[in-house]
Amino acid sequence: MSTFTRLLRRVRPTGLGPIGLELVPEGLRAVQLEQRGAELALVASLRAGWPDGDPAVRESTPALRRFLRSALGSAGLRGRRVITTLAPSDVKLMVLNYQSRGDTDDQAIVSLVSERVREPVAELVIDYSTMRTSGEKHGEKSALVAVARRETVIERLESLRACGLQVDALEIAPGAVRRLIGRATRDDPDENALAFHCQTGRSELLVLWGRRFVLHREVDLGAHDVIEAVGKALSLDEDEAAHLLEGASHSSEVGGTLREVLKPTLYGLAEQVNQAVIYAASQTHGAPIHCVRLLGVPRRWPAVAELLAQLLELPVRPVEPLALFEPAPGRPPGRAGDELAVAAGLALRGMIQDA
Amino acid sequence: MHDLDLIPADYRQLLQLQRWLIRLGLSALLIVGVASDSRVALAVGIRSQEQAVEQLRAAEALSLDRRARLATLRSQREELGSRLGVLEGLRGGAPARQMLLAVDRAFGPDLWLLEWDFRRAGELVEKQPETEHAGYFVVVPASAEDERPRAWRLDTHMEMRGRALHHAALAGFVRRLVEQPEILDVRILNTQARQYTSRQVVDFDLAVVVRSHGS
Repeated sequence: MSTFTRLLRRVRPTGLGPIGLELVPEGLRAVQLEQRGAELALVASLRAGWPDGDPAVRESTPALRRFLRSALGSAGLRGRRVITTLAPSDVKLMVLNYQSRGDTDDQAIVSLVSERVREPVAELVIDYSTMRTSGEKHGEKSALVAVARRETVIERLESLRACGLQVDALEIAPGAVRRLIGRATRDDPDENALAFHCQTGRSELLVLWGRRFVLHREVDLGAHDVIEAVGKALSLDEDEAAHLLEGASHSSEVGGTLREVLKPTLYGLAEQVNQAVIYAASQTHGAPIHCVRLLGVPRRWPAVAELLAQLLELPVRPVEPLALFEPAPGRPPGRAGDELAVAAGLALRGMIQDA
Repeated sequence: MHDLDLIPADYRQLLQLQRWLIRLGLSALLIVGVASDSRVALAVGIRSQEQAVEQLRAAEALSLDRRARLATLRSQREELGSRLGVLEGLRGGAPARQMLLAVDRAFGPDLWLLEWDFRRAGELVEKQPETEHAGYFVVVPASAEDERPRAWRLDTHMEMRGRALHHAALAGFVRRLVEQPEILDVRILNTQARQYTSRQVVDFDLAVVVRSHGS
């Protein structure tokens, strides 16, 4: 447990965790947990669109403050402490392989980042997490490195501070997803999983060896692309296509049709997943991937899960983020929970002992 | 595994310092507020105590005044008591009727009185009661100004002026007067023989000291 985590636990006497807060182009996602006896329980969750559907609210501090206060308060989220992320466009994630030849890990990584980013290091904020690799014995290491412009980071922090929030940590979305997968596999901590976190316009692939990153890769495929593919092939609008995806299973004729429709779309994904699996195997002495963990809206689409299982020849296990916790009294999460994977992972920070 | 955090360390330290300073400022404000309240409370308490002290002082002054007044009244009472004693002394002693009877008993046929003055009065004198035999003394309490013991000397005496046909009649009268229990002493102040109409008479002045209480 890190010093920060211990400190975090010390200053949270009531067991109430920080708010996991994600600002996405579509709106606001938030989850808050609390320690209820030995269990982690959901305090409240929130999925709200921007007022008038205008993402520019994020740029206006007074408007953002009004919106946050109203939305967080009405959802039953308590306190000022938040853990949040930068927008994906504001942070660069890279996997760096390095050798520490007398240098500390920090020096080696800063040196590599300065070569790749070509910006003054003083204007950057860099943090990293070492990853499990096969070459550790020979001094070769690998790290997942997050790089953001310092000005952007300070702007985000000050904006949230001006909204009356206290940012305990500024994370990256894959870190939150990794933590959530860790929660889902807490009964089998040695599970090697490939997490496919499908969001509206893009997705992420994470290969996790136990609790550690082996690979992180962004995939240019989102839930919207899947809906669009179905709609285009079957001449349906987006709502009808989404509705069809939710209802069709492999047992139905519609399910078969959908799988056929989706094959061209998901082939590219399957190819990237296979490459990731091969890469992960090379980094882990051939340790197998046990399953695919599916997060996001496609969790509710049986045809996608079935097709992925068929293409990858791996079991696909959907993860319903809010079902991993004791429910909040009187507040059923509903379908909105599928879009709260990152927020839930953020809210978990400091609430669990992270190996 | 290390959780990534992109909050710059110096920014976090700055915020912590800011929070610490705000808490310090609030604590200082709280302390100042408490101190101010305490000062006000103390001032109110002191004012209340001062008022109590003033009341006590006023009460003390009143008490001293009353005590002085009491002393004055006691003094007056003693004065009045002494005067009452004098008055009682003056009232005491032989009554006038008895004096008349006493003089009548001592009176003889060869003399007659021209004037008879009976006086009973008090006189404030240095206290030397042991040496006095005439009258009696009522001791007056010594005053603060005058430490000398003083006493009222009560004096009752009579003066008589008359004529006798001869000195033997005067001598008999004086002897009989002295024998009377009411009379303490008789002093012949003056005698003078002179011609009255066709015969010789003796004019005399007598001072009769009447016996009083204690004498």
